[in-house]
Amino acid sequence: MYYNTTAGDVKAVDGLSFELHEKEVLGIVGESGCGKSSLASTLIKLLPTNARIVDGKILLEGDDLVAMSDSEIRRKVRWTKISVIPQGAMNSLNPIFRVGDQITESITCHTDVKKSDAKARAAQLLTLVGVDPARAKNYPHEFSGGMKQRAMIAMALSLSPKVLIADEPTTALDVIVQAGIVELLLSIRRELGLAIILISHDLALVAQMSDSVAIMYAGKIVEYGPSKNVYLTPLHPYTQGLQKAFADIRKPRQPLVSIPGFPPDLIDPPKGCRFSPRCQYAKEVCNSEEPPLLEAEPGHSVACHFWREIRSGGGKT
Amino acid sequence: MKAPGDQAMPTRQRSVGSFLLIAYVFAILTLLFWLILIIAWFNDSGSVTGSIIGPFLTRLGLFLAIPACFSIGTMIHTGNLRGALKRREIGRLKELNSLIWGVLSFFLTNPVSGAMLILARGPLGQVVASGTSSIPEDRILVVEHMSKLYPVRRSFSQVMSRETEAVVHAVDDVSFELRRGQVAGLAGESGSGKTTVLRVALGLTPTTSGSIFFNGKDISKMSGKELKQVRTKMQVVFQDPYESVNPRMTVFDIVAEGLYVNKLVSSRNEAIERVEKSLRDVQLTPPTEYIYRHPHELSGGQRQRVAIARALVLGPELIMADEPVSMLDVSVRAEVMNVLLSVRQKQGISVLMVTHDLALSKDAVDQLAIMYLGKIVEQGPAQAVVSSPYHPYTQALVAAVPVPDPTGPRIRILAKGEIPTNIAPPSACRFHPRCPLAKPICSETEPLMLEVSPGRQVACHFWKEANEGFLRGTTEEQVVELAK
Repeated sequence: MYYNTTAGDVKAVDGLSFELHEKEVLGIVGESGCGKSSLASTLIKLLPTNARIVDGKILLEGDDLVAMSDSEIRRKVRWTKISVIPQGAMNSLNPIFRVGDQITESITCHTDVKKSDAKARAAQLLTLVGVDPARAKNYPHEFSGGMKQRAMIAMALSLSPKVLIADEPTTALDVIVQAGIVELLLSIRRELGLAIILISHDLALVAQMSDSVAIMYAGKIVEYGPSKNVYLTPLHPYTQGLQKAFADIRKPRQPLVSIPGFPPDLIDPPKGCRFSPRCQYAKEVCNSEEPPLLEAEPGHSVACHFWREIRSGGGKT
Repeated sequence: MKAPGDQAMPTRQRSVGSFLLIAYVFAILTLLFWLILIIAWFNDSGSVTGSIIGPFLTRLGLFLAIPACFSIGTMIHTGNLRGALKRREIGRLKELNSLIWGVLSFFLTNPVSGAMLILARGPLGQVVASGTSSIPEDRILVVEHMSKLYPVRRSFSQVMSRETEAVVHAVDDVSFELRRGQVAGLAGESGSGKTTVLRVALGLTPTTSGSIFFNGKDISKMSGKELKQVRTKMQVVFQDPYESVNPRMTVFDIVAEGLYVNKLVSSRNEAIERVEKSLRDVQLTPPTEYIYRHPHELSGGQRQRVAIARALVLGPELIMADEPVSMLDVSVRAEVMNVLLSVRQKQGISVLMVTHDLALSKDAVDQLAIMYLGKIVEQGPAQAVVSSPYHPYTQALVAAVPVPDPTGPRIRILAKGEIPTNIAPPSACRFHPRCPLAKPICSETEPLMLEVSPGRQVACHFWKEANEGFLRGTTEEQVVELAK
């Protein structure tokens, strides 16, 4: 998926492939500007006018969403099969409508149910996410940040979708509130049998929730596999760098390590491996040839020329 | 000769008469204002109501007194009064009377309402007699019993019906100290008052009570001029580098602004030299490459480093940083933190940092204080506080921090509900409604801050039981499955 800008095409999501199984939680981790949120909006085809899907397929239960028309998506897919909790959900509620009415509206918009039934459904959903249904007649400003987030989750669940895309669901929330939201998402998955795509920059949060994880860098997946493999034996230098930069509360005091440099410009990304300018293992081949995403271990793939050396050498620190 | 004067006289008298009426009206209103002020004061002494009534009535008083003086001034200008005094006519003495009232009202209302204000501020919190002499040399910042209350704005009818005043207890009796060259952290949820402590310590907003000693001098009693001087030694780095640097200024302008404002440089070359040195300190090298850029040409991490350079250029002894890395990407957080820590090491600058990231504060902070609803509930060396917390609130915070390891312990929720409003904070121990260990005593007696082991202080009745219970939970790596 590319964005058209006056400065040239921004290659926000570039040649990305992954699978999401039923009831799976897939974590997508990356820095800001790596294309995580663009990926989310591509998946439900809610794209701004200057964006276009250049190539590729999004297969949902065998149907290709890229080939579908907008109206078809609106009727058959969006919200009924895939729904999304947008980034900054705290500010996504309309401040001049009651919370309950907003949830009801999302139900009546997509289906033909009666308004009274939709209202009952909204109350049921609010109970599910742990908000007192009596608060449905409150306005968003009367809700705390955590409650607004819960209301947004209720709205996303209103048509019992199969896939829930959560884009940074806990940014700007306090840790204790964040813990509550994480618990809620996991219990929803267990009860309703949803698959969740969790998009976050927080490596620790994703570790807590996901079954498999994809690490994104500059519009590409650099490492992808079951969470356990990726976290315990990270093979890509970027994954390793991220892990070191992340303070672990259990470990004794240690100096902080950062990844030097900053993410590349996606209008004109570096040739070859996009991480090479920041990589400590980079050799000449990294500047000329782009490493393919190869399966290093069953189910665990990595896009790096030197993953073997990294694994045998200073793989884990 | 006589005729024109006689004819002019009646019109003048009529206009004087209406002025006289206005002067009387204002004089009476001013008296009334006095009366209200005094009644309000006697009824509410001891409560905080005075602080709202005071400013409100001061404004009313000014509103009344100024036109009163104007009308009297105009009256004098007509020359009528002067004539009356000259001729010593008894009838004219009424006007003299009004003049006296007008002048009195002007000169008395302002100082009196000012004095009322000062008196009204008194009972807001207990002013602790501060022992200035006992501040040790190695403490760069000592905060003693700092409280900051914000009155909640009330409507006119609420003021008139004398509805009980609501006050936000943003910071309530907080004391801590910072040694030279150390990094102190303030942690807690949003709404716990961490940022307010920082703002008050910087002198950006006055304290309600308590004292803040910077280098042994109480900044809460300083004048604006003195504060300006002190601030060159006490600099601030704000949370959001996208908001805190002016997008229309170049890096040079941003960093050098403080030098020019405080007249610390005499020439542009000197300013460039100081700015370049400061940019090198924050590792924006070579400085010539960055010095004429605008903020939009910099990444978030670089902007925050410019903000740090701006603080460093004045050669401060203390930097106060409000969540300096929370807006940045994970991969550059460590870098910016390291810049801050390296200037601490090289130049011996002390840092007071507000943060909500406990994992990071364990690695970056020496002394950590945990705040809840305007109070410090626990403080001590950061590593110890995070790995073996005593207060149930600290434990709840630590347990909710996710660990970047899918095989590691899951996050646990140890506190019920959400942080309550601090307009009417819970009685006694403020954490008791959310605390899993709360017993009746917790809502009756406020726990005192106790030194339970060297350097570790905690305010909880059951810190021992809490600590043992928590350690048992974590050492067994008890994986509490989320939502069974």
